[in-house]
Amino acid sequence: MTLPTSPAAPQAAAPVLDLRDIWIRYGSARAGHDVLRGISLTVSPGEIVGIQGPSGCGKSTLLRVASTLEKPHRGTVRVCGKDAPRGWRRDGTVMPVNQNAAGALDPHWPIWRTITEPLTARHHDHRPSPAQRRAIAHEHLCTVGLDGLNPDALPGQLSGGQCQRIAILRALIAEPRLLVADEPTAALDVSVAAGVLRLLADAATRGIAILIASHDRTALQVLCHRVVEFHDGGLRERHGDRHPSSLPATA
Amino acid sequence: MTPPTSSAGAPGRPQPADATPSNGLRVDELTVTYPGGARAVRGISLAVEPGQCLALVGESGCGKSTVAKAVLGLLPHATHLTGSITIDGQEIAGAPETALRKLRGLRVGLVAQDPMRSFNPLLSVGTSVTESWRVHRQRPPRDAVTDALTALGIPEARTRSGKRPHEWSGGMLQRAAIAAAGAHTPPLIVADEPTSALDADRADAVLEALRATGAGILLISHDLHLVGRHSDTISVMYAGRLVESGPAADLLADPRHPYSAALLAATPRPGQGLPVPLPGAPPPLDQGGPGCSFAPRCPAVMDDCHTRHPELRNHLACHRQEAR
Amino acid sequence: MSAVTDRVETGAPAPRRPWQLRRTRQPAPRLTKRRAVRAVAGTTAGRIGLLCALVVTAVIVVGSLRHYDATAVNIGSPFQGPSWAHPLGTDDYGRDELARVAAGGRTSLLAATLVMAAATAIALVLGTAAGLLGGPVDSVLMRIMDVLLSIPSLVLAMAVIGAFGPGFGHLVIALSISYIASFTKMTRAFALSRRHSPDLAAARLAGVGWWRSMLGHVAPRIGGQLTIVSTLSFGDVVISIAALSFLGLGVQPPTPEWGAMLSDARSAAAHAPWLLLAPGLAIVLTAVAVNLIADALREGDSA
Repeated sequence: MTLPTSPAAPQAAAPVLDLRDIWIRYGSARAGHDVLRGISLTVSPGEIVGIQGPSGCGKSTLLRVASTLEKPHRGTVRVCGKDAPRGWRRDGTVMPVNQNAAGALDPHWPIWRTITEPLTARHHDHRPSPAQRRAIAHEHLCTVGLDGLNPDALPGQLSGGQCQRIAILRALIAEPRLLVADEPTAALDVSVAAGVLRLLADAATRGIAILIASHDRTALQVLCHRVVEFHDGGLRERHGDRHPSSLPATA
Repeated sequence: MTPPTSSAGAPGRPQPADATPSNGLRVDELTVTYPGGARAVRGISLAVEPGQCLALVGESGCGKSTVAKAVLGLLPHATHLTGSITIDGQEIAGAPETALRKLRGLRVGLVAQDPMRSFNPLLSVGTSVTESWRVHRQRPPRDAVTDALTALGIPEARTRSGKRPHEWSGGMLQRAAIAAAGAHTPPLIVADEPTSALDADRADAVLEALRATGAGILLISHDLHLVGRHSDTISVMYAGRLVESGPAADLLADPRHPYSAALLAATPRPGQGLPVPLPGAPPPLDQGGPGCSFAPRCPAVMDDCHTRHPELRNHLACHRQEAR
Repeated sequence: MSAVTDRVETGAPAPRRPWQLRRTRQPAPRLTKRRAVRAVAGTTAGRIGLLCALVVTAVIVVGSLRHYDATAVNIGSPFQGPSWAHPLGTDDYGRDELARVAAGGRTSLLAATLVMAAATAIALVLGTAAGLLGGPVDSVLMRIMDVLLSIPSLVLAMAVIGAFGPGFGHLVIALSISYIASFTKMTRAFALSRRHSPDLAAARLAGVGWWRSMLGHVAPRIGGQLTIVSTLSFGDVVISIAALSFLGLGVQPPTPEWGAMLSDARSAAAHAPWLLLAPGLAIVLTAVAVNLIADALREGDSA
């Protein structure tokens, strides 16, 4: 039995993600129905917040709203204090991790190109050359135990677990403040999923805020500080295992 | 070698009428080699008594789905099969397609992984379920479908059965699939990862519905805790072989094989901290060395493990445990 | 990054096993040069197409090298049958038929190539813009394309030529319009399907610029698809050019063109049938060659 050894208390700094009074509607403005009514949620640096609920309850849409990829029907989204998406400049602060990892990687790009893609963003003054990118990709692959992998491999030649770890590497190389993970372990074997959960926990100890959605109650319980459960448009919150109040008092 | 049987059935389940050796499913030294040369199953033996549930657990690629397909006679044409599979005494391995067709549905039911793919999206669910009778040129008894659905806990079965699959939720649709599989009360139902495509909180309801049919169940799954709650016996597979078998509660409380223990440690459990992943990956199936397949990843590996393959003794295949 | 020490993947990427196919997605195979050659030269249909293409190319090359002028009004003998001097005979003006077929071929093929190139280039830009930008840009563009598509291509071409007059340039423009419409619709559908894909979203969120992510993720795939579709339409265009010229709406005399030559040969059909056969066969062989080769390429791409 292993206990979390890292300090799990998130800092009381300004929240990385601030969702206020979010309404999400499926269907048209007139004939649709509201799946989420007036949800508010904050995520602080280094905190892992889980969202639990059955499929179709609006989890994925809420995550897209949190990633600034979609606008909510009503409500405000603030990332690092700035209004999104209007006042917001995309620069890798928010990065996604998806359920279907192989689908989240360009099938025609070798993985070194995919992993280092965030380094070609506009806000970087210096773009590394392809040879440099290959070397950087190889470095990062070693950190997650994929050093035996050929950086020129295509995603179609890899297993789901390898693809998911590569997707997480791509997300982390952008030096995000917030990771938005939509069912990251859904299609994975138990052991591979455990590895992915560890990667995410590792990222959180380095101060990255994580918003993760899953239907796996126990996975969220062991990973998160707080778990938010969606229920008929509203939400219920409970403490996860990493919440300071859940940890046994240290001697 | 006698296959493992459970020590006690769970309370409330229909008890087996008579568990004579020729009843239920018997698999003896089954070996399956796919046309490309990959040996997916290497000498598996197991038994499912009538009314009992045997869970076959392992990671992807261990061969558990292959066992399920072999039992149903659904392997590709050129697959090489040795060993014996009998259902109620009737031999399945090598049986002609006509004989197999008479078995499927009547003596063996199947519940597949994705309920959305088990149903024709253009037909109502009720119509699809009545196909279970029509395929065998029988007419379903009056209200058979509605009664079966209600018995499995589906509310307003009559109106719902007129709806199409996309209007049903995944959990309820899987229960409808169970109703279809159990239409002729077959003595054996093969459930191939029936809850993997569903939300985790629906899984328990689906497995309860499965047990409620009263049939003997061969349950394929990768979720140890889930099968621990619903099955009588668990058999753990790795790289095509059985590494451990035993009563569900005993195996989960005290796994004897290092792989079973590692699998358990990799499954999240509240209050136990982060799950521990296993190092490495399962070996590719076209490779078969002399030693134990798990040796490269085993935390308790000994010298013997690399040279000699451990035999299944007392439902356990491990050198370390034998040496104890 | 801190090392996650508890995972070690052994050796090369795991080989694909049948039951793992549901966990990863096969990328669409790239139509590499080697694959393309194998697709065309390896199938019977492809070989027949190649043969036809060779025949047509030979005729055009040989005919173009002849010293007979295809457009001059020759004082030589008209309506001569095939002979050593004139393998395909002479036409009503005494011009060498082989030279005329060759010249006509050059004109047709050039026109068809221009039509396809223009349609592909314009459709790529418009379709991608419509698919990725959405909103009013998409609506306006699509309504325009819908109107264009509702008119049969030849009728549309005739209308344009009727408005602006016949001639090589107008012919190319007129025929391009219909193809632009259909290609744009196709490109847009593809761009739409890529628009919400997760890899594009990740690139955008990371701050990769719009153009760069488009060129990297969307354009390569569309380019490949468009090339195949335009190659398939090539034969169609050749026939359309011949049809318009047959009606007198295409290139004007004395520029030779297969369709026009067919039209002229109608009146002499009784006593000089070779004048019908030569351009007719040329049209058929070209269309067959292009269609078979393009089809073989398409099969090779999807195999």
